[in-house]
Amino acid sequence: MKALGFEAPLWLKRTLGFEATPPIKVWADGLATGRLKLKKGFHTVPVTFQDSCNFIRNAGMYRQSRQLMAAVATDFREMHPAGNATYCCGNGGGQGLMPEYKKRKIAAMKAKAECIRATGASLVVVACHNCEDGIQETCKAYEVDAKIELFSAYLAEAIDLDEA
Amino acid sequence: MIRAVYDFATGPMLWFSSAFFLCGLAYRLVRYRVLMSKARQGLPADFRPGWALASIVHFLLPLNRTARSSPWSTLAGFGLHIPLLVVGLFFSAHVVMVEQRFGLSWPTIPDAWADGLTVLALASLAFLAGKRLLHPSLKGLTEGKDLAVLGLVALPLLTGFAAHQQWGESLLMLTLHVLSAHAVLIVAPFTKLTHMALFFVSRAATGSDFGKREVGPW
Amino acid sequence: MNFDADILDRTMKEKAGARLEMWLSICSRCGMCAEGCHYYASDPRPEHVPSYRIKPLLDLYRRRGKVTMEMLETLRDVCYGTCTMCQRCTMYCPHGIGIAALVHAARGVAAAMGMTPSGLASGLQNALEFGNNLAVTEENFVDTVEWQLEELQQEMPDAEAPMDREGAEYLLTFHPRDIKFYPQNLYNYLKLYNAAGVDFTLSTRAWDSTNLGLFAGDVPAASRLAGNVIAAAEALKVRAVITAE
Repeated sequence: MKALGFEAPLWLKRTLGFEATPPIKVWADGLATGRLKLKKGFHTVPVTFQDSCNFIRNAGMYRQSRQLMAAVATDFREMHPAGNATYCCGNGGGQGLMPEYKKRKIAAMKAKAECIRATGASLVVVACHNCEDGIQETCKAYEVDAKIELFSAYLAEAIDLDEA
Repeated sequence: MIRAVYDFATGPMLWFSSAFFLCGLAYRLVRYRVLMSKARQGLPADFRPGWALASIVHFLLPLNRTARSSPWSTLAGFGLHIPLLVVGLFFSAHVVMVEQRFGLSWPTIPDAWADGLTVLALASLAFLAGKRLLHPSLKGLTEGKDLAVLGLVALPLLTGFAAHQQWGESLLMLTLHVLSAHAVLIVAPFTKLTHMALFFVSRAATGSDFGKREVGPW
Repeated sequence: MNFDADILDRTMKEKAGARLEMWLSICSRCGMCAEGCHYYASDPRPEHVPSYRIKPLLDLYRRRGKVTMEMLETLRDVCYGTCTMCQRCTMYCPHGIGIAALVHAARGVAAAMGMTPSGLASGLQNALEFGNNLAVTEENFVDTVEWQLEELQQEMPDAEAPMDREGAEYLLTFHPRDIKFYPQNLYNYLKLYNAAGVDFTLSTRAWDSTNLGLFAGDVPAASRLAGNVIAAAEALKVRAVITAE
């Protein structure tokens, strides 16, 4: 997202013939126009959301992500801090591919682990593959009892096919 | 002898330092502009003035996360910068000097205010220096230069206050005050003190960048 | 170990843009960015204050011409090892300094000196060679899409996954592991976009929009990777590219 959305024009010194869109925007647009039908209150498990730096802080999808969560979750719990000021999942910037720095990375995940634990949620929805691994490692290392699910999976389950 | 130095420092040297200071800052700003347009060659302008302005305003007023996360440092920051500006520009003796040398004049603040503000600025500086020296994480980050700059800014405040209180030999204090102020003006464009101009550029750049994503960096 | 001083000098010159110069000179090391960093929040040490991360780069510029291998190694360990470039610290910096951008530049210097950490380097190598960092072949990709589409059609008979369809509104791209390890993800994406009635297409030649070059700070490589997707998107004349989740 960051590469195509913001950096590439500077690298290539030209404008692109298209725009880069985070998936959350397309889903939220579908929800707003009523074309994407989601079963209201489909998910009842206490859930929290990891604001990925890519899509929230760097693409401004905070509002859209919450609209989608509100559409399908009955027990949504915010982390503190959340949104644009949330802590990083710990796995950004290629940390997942640098085993030599893994110990430090895991040590730095403590802050996030406590944020998740404090929500009491048993599911963390993540909107980024790096976050998926990051939160997984966080919960494992700090024994937070929560499952991790991609936002796409969480929403896809709640699609109302009968009404479509 | 001291009288001669004083006359020189409040005379010809004042012209020199002011010119050097203003040209230096202008050079930094123009240089930024030139380098920036080189990097953005061939790309359409996408600067967001509204977001840039909002970003500056949120930090000129303490309307930001930093003010909440570091309230004491923020307080010290304001406690240092407001007196520097207000006393620097509106203290009666400063305005009189500018009037004599440059023929411009504007309203002044009561002298008692100037004293109070100077004490506030010195206390803030002491807090910032103390934090640098004692805070376990900041200690490792502090360079000699950082302390030197704090000290350099403290000098004109201390000597100015002493002169106004008639401590020590007043002409000597006054001369030291003027000389140290010159030193601040001269190093400003080439140390981190350039933030007096580049703060606005940096905040605007970041405000605009984050604004493109509709996120306010404050 | 030795390094090529000419490459270093050239890279440093290239990186010394308007912002880098401004930010390196106005950082006052006030330390207020510390509150912004999850490394610091979890383990409050001087090395975890974000402004510490720009010191190795600043030292490089200060000691231009007299840089040692040790300095470069410090730069690599600090900039790859203690930062996720999440940009949270920028929201806490009173000057609004883009610390992540400076870390990116510092990584770029290390990358140009051939010091990219090996895991990142080999992923990047794959991405440059195969168009994705997990070395999935085009045939593999097409098969996986067809397989998941068939599965989806059990649930949604009208579902489709058009390949290389010119003039679609969106080009859908993925993370390579959606294809290689978690085809269920692909299923979910196709389900969402079909259910929402989105006019989309996939591209056989550019379906990975992740960019390890960006992480590595390697701008030439990053440009090539972005270039793949850009060329495909522009050839298909799409309005927008949906990036990997």
